Amino acid sequence: MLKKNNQPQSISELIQKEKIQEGQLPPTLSYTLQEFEDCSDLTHRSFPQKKVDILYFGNLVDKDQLERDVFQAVIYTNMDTQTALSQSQFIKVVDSKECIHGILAGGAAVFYEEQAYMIEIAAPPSRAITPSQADPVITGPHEGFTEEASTNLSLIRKRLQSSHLKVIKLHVGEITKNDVYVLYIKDIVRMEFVEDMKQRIMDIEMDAVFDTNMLLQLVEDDVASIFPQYLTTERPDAIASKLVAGKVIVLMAGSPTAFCAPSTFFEFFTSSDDYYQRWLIGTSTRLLRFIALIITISFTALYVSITTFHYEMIPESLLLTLSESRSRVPFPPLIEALLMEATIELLREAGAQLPTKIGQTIGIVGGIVIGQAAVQAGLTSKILIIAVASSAIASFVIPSYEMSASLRVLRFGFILIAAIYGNLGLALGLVAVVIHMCGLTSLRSSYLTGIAPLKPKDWKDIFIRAPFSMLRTRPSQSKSTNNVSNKMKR
Amino acid sequence: MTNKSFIIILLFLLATLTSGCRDQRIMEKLGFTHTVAYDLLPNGKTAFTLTLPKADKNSEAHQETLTAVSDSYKDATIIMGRQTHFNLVNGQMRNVLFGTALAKQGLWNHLNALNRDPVVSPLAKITIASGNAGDILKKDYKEHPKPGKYIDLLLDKQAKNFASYRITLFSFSRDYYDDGIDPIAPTIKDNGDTLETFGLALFQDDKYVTKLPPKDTILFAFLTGTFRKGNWNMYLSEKLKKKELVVLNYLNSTKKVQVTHDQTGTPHILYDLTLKGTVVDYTGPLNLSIDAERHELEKKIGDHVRAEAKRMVAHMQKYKADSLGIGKHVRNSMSYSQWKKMNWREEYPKVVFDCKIKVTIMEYGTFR
Repeated sequence: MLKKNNQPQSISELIQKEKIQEGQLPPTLSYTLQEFEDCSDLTHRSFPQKKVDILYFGNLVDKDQLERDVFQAVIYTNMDTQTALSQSQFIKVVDSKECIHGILAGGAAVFYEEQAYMIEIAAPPSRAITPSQADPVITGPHEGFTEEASTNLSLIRKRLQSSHLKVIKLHVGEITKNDVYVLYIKDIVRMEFVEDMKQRIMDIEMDAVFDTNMLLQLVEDDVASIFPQYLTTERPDAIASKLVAGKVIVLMAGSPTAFCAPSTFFEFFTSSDDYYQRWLIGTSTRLLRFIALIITISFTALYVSITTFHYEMIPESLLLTLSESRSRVPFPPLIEALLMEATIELLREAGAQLPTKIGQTIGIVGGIVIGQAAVQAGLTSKILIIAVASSAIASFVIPSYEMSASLRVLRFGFILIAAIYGNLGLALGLVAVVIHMCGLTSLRSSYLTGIAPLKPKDWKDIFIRAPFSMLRTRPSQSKSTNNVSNKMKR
Repeated sequence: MTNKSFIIILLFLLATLTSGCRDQRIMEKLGFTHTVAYDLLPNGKTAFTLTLPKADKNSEAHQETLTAVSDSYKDATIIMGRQTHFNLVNGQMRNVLFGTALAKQGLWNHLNALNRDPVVSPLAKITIASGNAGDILKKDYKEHPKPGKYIDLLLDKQAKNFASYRITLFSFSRDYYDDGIDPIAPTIKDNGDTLETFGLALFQDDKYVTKLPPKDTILFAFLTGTFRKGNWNMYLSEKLKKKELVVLNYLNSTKKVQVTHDQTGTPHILYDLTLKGTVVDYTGPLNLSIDAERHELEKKIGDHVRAEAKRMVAHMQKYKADSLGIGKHVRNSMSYSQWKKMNWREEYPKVVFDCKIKVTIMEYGTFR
């Protein structure tokens, strides 16, 4: 909130008040100028001989278009001003609020006598389309979304040339007024999902929403859950496939991320690459990710529980090396494991914050110096280093960054419960997590669809990636009205 | 916070804080019992010897050996606990050695104590030491610094080739309780610088009565029908001038048992066996490339095995040890009340045993 001490009301309340007051105010130059007082980036061009005043933000408009469509068309013309302003690019506005929003969105306002006209010539700064940093693939298209919503929409339209692709435009943020686009394919999506998502977005009352990742937290079903409930991606091809699968997509201006709803837990373990590779390769990669899931949550916890309670479980030869290695460590297994896990998390966070070139140094410092030295100094055992490192590596195998971060946090819970109750605790913890996931919903549909409720038909696109000839229906979570997606003869 | 989640958190905290850390068994503080040896002392007490493999790299010793004299193993561990800084635990126990004297007196009390301990694996091996078991374990073998592990690996390897048997706490107890079969156990013997497996000890219930020499273990495996693979050498003729040795390998055997009863009620057992194998060595006069002569060798082998089997069963009958489980076949051939009425231990020596063996030589060499 942008609240100041001497200001009795918040800005959003003030705006609310203004809305009621200025409901029918006609747009006037003086009022508009007063509204933009102290906005030094506003350009005001005055042409007294033509009785024309033009207002625009010089940084937001396209200079060429301004020259051609405004100055050439109205000022440097022999036409009568009134006639010139009746050209189709000019839209007459009657409400001052509309006029102000138009200028803010990168338009130019033309004031002539008592009338006001808007022209849309926005060219906000944007970057080129580059490969997505967050979701890279080896094969398949490399284009990623940019911060510019129009670019993103064009990337999706390019892939889905169908009039059934609908785009609903909404706004969030009382001050920021960001455009939010809800996309769906008519006749495939179940309209309840669209209505639900629309309603949730419209219900947001917050001063500022800056990014899709922020927006999706405001429309989640369960804020307290550790699991992300909507799958995010920066890849237009992934978004197109989710649309065809009957999901609702939400895009936001100013954010390169889109999210799809509803999502299942298993979707976070899929990648576009699975579909671009041949099906056997795709299947084995997908299975590998589920193995990574198990390793991430359980490896360090299993080490703690075995060294603390269950010496019976390991083969004799490993037992001897393990207890030899452990015998020089002055801490109990729990402290030892937490120490190493914390170090790995520090390294990861340091690597994420630093530029790539310095990031490599972190790898060397972390991997070689700390890993090697910690063992030699007798702070940890070698087997623990292996367990911690492999569970950290496994967590990076999971394609969704949100899911991988959640699992890394969850791992600490498992380590603690393993230190208290051993394997029994691990089993109890796993049961608790599964119970929680069974109760979790994503846009009011079950998060574990495929397992609970049981849909064996879905499994060929959950645990394996079956050949396309077998993937004939949309995922059952979409509850699509038009369920068949592949009518090819086998 | 809702009432329900408050109760759940309270329960969790109670379970966590009240349980404390009493049940922890942190690895480096434990001494893992690897092999235990039991010996009967002249005064009727039992001597226990126990080896712990050592993990310390800096120490010269590869294992720690502890001894105690007591009446039960549990009591002995308390006495032995006074001699070491490790907590003695039984969860990694691999092998239990019994001295011959103790085995003759009966093992069940000791085995039952091991069975009762949930931490002791049912897969721990039961082995009979020829002579004193503790001495075998305590001895310093030049090439084998860890006798416990050495015995364990030796028995495993021998069992794979059917030169010995893998008898676990579980299988021994099962045979002990089962009607119509008596337990067996492999025997090991101190051979100076090495140890060797030395045939099978045969039990009558839990008492050691007699043994089978090492050369009979394969025959024994063949008669139980579990035989799959191994080297079987037979002297078909022991005469000095015409010594005839045949070695069979990669064997495959099947077994069918027929039980009939004659007028007096004495059971007649007929083992119907087939044996398929390859000849790896033959030092006789027959030419195996000729079909007729090969068939003659097959018949010779069959007759030899039949005679050996009858000799072996007669030996078992003499000591009233039904190690082959003939009683099980007899039991299955009659009603339960009849079986109950019969005193199998007394009936067993009277059983008439015979077998029919069909031998097939599948391969006999590279050149014809």
